[in-house]
Amino acid sequence: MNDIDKLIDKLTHDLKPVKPMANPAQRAFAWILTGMISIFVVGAIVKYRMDLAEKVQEPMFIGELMGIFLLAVSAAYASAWLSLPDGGCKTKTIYVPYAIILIAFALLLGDIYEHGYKLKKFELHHCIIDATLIGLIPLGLMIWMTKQGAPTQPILAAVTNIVATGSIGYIGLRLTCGSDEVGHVCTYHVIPFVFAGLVIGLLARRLYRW
Amino acid sequence: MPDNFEKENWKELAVLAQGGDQKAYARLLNEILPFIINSLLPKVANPEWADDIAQDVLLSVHKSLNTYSADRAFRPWLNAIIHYRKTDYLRKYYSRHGHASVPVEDQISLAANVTAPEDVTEYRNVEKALQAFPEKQQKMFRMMKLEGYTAREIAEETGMTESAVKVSVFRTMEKLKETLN
Repeated sequence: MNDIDKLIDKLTHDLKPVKPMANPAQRAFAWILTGMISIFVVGAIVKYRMDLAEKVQEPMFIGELMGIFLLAVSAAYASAWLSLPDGGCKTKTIYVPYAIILIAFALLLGDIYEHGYKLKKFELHHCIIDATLIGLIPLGLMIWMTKQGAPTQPILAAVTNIVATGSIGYIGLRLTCGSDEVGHVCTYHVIPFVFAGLVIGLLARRLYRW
Repeated sequence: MPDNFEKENWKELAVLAQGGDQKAYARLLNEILPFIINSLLPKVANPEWADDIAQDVLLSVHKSLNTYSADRAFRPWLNAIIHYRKTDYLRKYYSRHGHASVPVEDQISLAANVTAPEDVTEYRNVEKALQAFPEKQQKMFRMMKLEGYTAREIAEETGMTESAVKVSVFRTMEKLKETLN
């Protein structure tokens, strides 16, 4: 009996019944629900923006939130697929959030071109703390859900996790922060998530080793 | 891949294994093993590596059995694991051994160090096709594409202009593509 035969015997002997993971749509739904609850709870704690009642009358503001919500949903769904070994076969699904990001960045650049952009001095602004509060539980849940699976594209999975969490954080910040100034939005609502994506991308192989 | 691999009902065996059926699981592992090894052999230089990676793949199948779902095909799931473990194994191997440069004629070194030995034939075909070009053109192509010289350095060496060097190398490349296709 060679090593491989011995290994097969051992694995067979060690087999225990396993429950197949819930399908990606169910997991994405559960995660989005958690994200929405997080926005609601943290928003109630840190207080929603004073002009929220007027802002929700603006079609641009609602359109922006809907677009980012679509990004969160697509990234959560893609993340759920990417936690499976063969999730990478779903190429259309996993690249949808990146197509939305390209559109979002194009719109942001248009906004910068129109209104000018002054990069704020980076400091521990309350938006960073609020974003951390809003994103902490969804990010933890997302990492846990991905680790329950067996991702074979760990970097893409990790970055997509951050896109999903960042989208939830962004929505939360637009509802709680009173500033619509493009420099502020870029510096405190977008760049921290881009940075988090870079960091987690670098740690991804270690984080999602299985 | 041979047809007999297609006929096996691995999907049903995997579902039974998820329910704890040891007989079905043993059958599944024994049946996928030749498929795994046959998938790996053309992609690695050393047949022993295929055995090592196959063991990693079997362990990974065991660990990630919960990620398989009967509403998806079994083979893409298994192929993804094979590819992941192969890449992981080769990454670790080369980070330990570094990158070795060997002549294409050295079959022993080649077998030990080259990931895709079947590509050697392609290198030889390129060399053969290159013989058909004028010597100067061959020299410029080799300098730029094989030895890593810049167009400016080659221009200084040959006394030609930089853009003439680029055009010559580009044309050689295009003709080589035509010849080899």
